[in-house]
Order: sequence, then C-alpha cells, then structure tokens
Amino acid sequence: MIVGTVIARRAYIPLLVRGLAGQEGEVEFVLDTGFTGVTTLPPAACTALGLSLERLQPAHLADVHLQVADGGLVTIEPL
Amino acid sequence: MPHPRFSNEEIARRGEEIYAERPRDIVETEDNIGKIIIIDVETGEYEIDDDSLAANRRALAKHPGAALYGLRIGYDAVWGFGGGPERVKR
Repeated sequence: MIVGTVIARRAYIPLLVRGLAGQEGEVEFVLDTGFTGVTTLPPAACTALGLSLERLQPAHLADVHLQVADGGLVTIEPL
Repeated sequence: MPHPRFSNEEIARRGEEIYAERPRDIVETEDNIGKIIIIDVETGEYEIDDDSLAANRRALAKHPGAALYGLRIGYDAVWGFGGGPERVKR
C-alpha cells in the first residue's frame, strides 16, 4: 500500500526516485488520475539525481503552451 | 540535463528540420499516426514505436550518447499536461 496525504483536494505521495547512475532521492508527487503519460520532475530534482538527457520532445503544458521538454529515465518505487 | 554536444534549442531545431525534410512523407501513414518517432539529430536515423521507451533504447543502442528528439507522428506534441496533443497535418 502506498501512503500519502490529501491537501486541498490534491493527493500527494512521496516516492523514491532513482537515476540510472544510482543516485536516489525522495520526491513528493501530486497524483493526477487523468494522466497516464510520463512523470515530471522539477529541474532541481533532476540535477540532484544526476539525470542525463535521453531526448527532447514537445509537450503541451497545462496552459496549452507548447514547450520542448527534457526526457530522461528513472525508476520509481514506493518508500 | 544538458546534452554535451548540443543545446536544447539546437536539438529541437535539427529534429524538426530532419523530420520535415526526410522521414515525414514516409512515416505519416495511417498505421503510424500516434506512434512515437525518435530522431537522432546527428545521423538522421530514426526509430518508430508505440512505446517511446523502446524506440529510445533502440536509438541509443545504435548510437550511445546520441542527441535524440521525439515526436508523436501526426500530432503537435508527444504529451499533454492538462490538454492532449493536437492532431495536425503538416
């Protein structure tokens, strides 16, 4: 069972994120039950995890703005 | 997560240019619409798959450390946060 908290009708869960180089850290995620695509991480978390760029790809942000975004590979597991 | 040889802007520019000049007319078939194409912006080679991770891994296996650009065939974006990619005819 994954345990999290609900604040202001948003579900937050802490998960362990591990980059391919082995660096890992706890990151708190917001659950978006309407999205089944990729997971997003803030730039500071990417730097701390030593993530390397795998590819760039355009993505629509929540404000519909089209943004080219970095893509990388991590493993995610419950704490 | 910068690439060691190219800026993000250069990767995106090359990726879009390569797609428009070479594979677009070949890959935009009904069977491929919605699939992911991963373009190596240095060699111009590409991989297509429903699974972006699989296409990415094949591209990197061919050319480790490649500068890769991903597109969803027939759409303006690969992913949408809050709104999906829009179908476009280039």
